[in-house]
Amino acid sequence: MAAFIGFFVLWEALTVVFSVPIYTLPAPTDILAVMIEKRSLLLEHSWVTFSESAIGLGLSIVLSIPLGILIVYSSWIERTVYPFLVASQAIPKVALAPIFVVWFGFGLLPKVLIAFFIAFFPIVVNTVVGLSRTPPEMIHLMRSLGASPIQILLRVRLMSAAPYIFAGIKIAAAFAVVGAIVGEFIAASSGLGYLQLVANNNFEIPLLFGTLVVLSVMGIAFFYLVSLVEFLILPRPLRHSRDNAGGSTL
Amino acid sequence: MSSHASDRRGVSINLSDLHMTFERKGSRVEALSGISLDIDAGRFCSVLGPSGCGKSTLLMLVAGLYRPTAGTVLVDGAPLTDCYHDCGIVFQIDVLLPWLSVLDNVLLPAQVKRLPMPQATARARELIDQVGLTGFETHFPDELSGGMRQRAALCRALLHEPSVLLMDEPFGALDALTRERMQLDLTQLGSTDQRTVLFITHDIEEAVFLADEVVVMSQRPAKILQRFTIDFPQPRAPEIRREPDFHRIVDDIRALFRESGIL
Repeated sequence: MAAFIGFFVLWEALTVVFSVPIYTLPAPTDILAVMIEKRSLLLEHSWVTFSESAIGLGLSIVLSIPLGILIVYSSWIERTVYPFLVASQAIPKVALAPIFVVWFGFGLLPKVLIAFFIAFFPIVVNTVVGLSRTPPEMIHLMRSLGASPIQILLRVRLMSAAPYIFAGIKIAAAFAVVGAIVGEFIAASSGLGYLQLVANNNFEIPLLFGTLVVLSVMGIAFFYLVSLVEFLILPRPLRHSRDNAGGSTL
Repeated sequence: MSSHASDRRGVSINLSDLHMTFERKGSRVEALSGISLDIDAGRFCSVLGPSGCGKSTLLMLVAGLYRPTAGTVLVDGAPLTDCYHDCGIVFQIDVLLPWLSVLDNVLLPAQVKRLPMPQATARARELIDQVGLTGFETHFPDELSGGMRQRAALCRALLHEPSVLLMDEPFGALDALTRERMQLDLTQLGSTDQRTVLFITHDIEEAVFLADEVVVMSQRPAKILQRFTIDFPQPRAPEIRREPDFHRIVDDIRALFRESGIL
């Protein structure tokens, strides 16, 4: 926290001492001032970006976990679908944005789809890794008690995979915001990505930085929201697992 | 649940000419080579052998978790076609579910088998009390010592009053003092001729102290070298470790291991 404050004080001081022009690097106080002045504008566009990334993330959670389960349980799906998923990650996903705009127009849908497309992979991978890491003795124990495959999945495998799945969702949450912004860069009439383009074109550099601040806050908020849900639904021994196995690149 | 425990006498286990060969990517490992063994209902049988000899494989076959390459497993006179569900298993590692409290772990068999919970909970508390874990019911496994965790695992294996108890080197990972304490707990809790016990170990004294019968196995591929009957009454008292007969059997087994080049 102290490091953060020191960073902003130093930034403020440097802009004053070297009289850096506001269109090169605005001082933190300039940025704050414009954020307060244009708060309703920022809020309006934030809401658009927030909905796009939240829907994209929600969609990726709802589809990725069952897909991960299918990949682990069906060797046929593992052999046919999984290679496609991995190969799809070789495509620079950001470069797909213009195509999505061509296919799905200028509204909410293409942004949601780009957010989804970027976010789903870490969740699938972490679900697969988490489910495969279940100690075989646990499965032997459950089978010997007469547990059905569904009982083994729900009572043991999903539970032991939960820390991995949450780690995947945390990565996905950050990715979803990036996806929504990229979509807005390509073609949009609202959203923080659109607002950045407008500010850039009008040389409103403090607003450009202000938008960046809002975006960062949104990414952090997503991360902590997922952490909060994890805290609320997972028993203590499963929380805060640091061994996050998946990972992906943009 | 405990009401019908008293009229239980365990079930018989008959293994005839069991062979087990594992194949992994071209390499074949023969674990068991013609094991025939009859364990009468209610007997405590220790299988003693060097590490890696295939003793654990034998336990998995009796549990029905593995299918033998050849030979048959009869439990209670019937050939096994699937897992044998009327059994409790204790593995070398405790295999407690880390996200469940001690009580919930002990209650797992009741949850899976959908047994009436009030009776199961009462029985679980009784077992937890008998192994000295009272006060730790709401603790998570990672808050317990290795010995305490293995005690909880033992309670879980006994909760549903199984007619067969299978134990795979359950005390192998514990320190010497805890191990001796657990052996006493087990003889008081588990045996008393209510159930048939198959106890895998590589510790000669442990096998002789606990079991009615000790089956000594060779190195892999495992065959049965010899079978010893131990006549001390159950439950075993700690004093039998000082009896001359106890030492005679231990020495005989040690001699057998020397003869076959294991020791």
